[in-house]
Amino acid sequence: MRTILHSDCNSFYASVEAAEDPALRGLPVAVCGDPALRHGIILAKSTLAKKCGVLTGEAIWQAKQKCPTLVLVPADQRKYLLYSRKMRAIYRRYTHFVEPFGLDESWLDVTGHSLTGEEIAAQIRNSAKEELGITVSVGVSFNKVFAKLGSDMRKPDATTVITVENFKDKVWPLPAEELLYVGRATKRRLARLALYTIGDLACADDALIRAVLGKNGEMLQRFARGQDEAPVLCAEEAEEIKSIGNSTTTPHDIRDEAGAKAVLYLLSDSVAARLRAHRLACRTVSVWMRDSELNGQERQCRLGQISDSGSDIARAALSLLREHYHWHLPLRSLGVCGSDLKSTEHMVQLPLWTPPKVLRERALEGALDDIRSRWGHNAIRRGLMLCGAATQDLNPVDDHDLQALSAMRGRG
Amino acid sequence: MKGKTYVWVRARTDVSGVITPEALRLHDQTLPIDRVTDRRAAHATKAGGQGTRYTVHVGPRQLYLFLDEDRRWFVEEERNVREIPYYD
Repeated sequence: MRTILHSDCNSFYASVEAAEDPALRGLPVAVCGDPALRHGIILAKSTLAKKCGVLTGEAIWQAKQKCPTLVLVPADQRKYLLYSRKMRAIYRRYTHFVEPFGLDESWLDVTGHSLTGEEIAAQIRNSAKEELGITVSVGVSFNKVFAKLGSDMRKPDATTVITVENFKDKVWPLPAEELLYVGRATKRRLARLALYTIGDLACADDALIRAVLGKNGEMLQRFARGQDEAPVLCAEEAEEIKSIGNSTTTPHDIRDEAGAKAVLYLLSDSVAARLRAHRLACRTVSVWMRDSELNGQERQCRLGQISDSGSDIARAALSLLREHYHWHLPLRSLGVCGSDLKSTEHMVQLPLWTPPKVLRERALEGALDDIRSRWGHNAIRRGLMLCGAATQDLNPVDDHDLQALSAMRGRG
Repeated sequence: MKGKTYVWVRARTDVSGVITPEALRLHDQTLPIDRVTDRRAAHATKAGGQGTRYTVHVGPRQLYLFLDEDRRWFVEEERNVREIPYYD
């Protein structure tokens, strides 16, 4: 029998804000978008605000009508990511089978641990309070679905244990929509069969469920019966990134270095933005080139120091191209890839003296990320992109013109 | 109500990476830290935020000195001003 925990941070965004500013404790708090940017909706609310009837997604003025004393706090994604990372670090003290479900929820498989699931849940709740100042609700069960149900049953700061012995008493009386993946549409279809609770679903005739809800129905029925065998994925390890690359086949063949330069800068900027988004920097840059007769080659070099800057990557890529491509044929496709990745989350060894030009480039690229995250990729471009016909119509983000390099390498 | 006061700290880092604060500057005074009796990840309950909390002894006084995510040191001090801007 497995021991699965599901940990859910209570009112996560609002709790983080209160942990950062104790003056907010005991007040109805809502985290919202910036009204000046016309993003003025409620993104998350504290327990007190919830009691006043404040809903996620409604306009600020609607929330204010329901709760005139509501304190509105601007959203700060950086803070929420930090607390989320710290919570996962707490989970990993017990197991490396930690599967995040959004920023504020995670499943843990603690099967075989010397402590019981309930003891681990108590320690996690305690650590969250003492180390981060937030509360979590934990569900302990023998599968993921019931563990998640458990974490929703008692809030805030509580542990709910659902065992093989007690699940019929605890889970079956709950309304069907409490079950994972039962949305509004499924709820309606179940109601038409007079199935209102999880117990009703579990005890319903298999053939009937299959006929009305298909494979999805069978899965839900297995969930209701406690037969969910899905493993807790060790997501963070499985998704460990080895390299980040982009490639493109341009609308027109590239006939000279100026054209290639524009494409390389476009690709490098995209690679660098993805590196920064994952808080990574690369040590090795490789360029992949394919001519109009579909002959491909790849060359790589090491950077003087790790970098997540589009300019650094592009310069390295361009020098590789100059060195290894002799323009006997026009180029059809180009790819740029950063590998030998290092995390930039902790301290980075900087050179003793960084030229002001490099500092300016870094600041500029940060500003580019910011502008693009708000207004789209094409809101701002390098002037270089306007020179080559090859790059004018390319939009690496919105149109998926750029592809993962691995996909391109595999083709003729 | 207490708030964060960021402070100058002189610290020693040993070969295994353990950081030990040796002196801090508070209100224009440089104060030697006599002893560090505890070091743990903790929430700054009075000022808000979190980090590595050092329990330090400065003369007869015991205080909490925090090292935050941005590698800045702070102590919790009495404060009247609200620092985070909120929407009206």
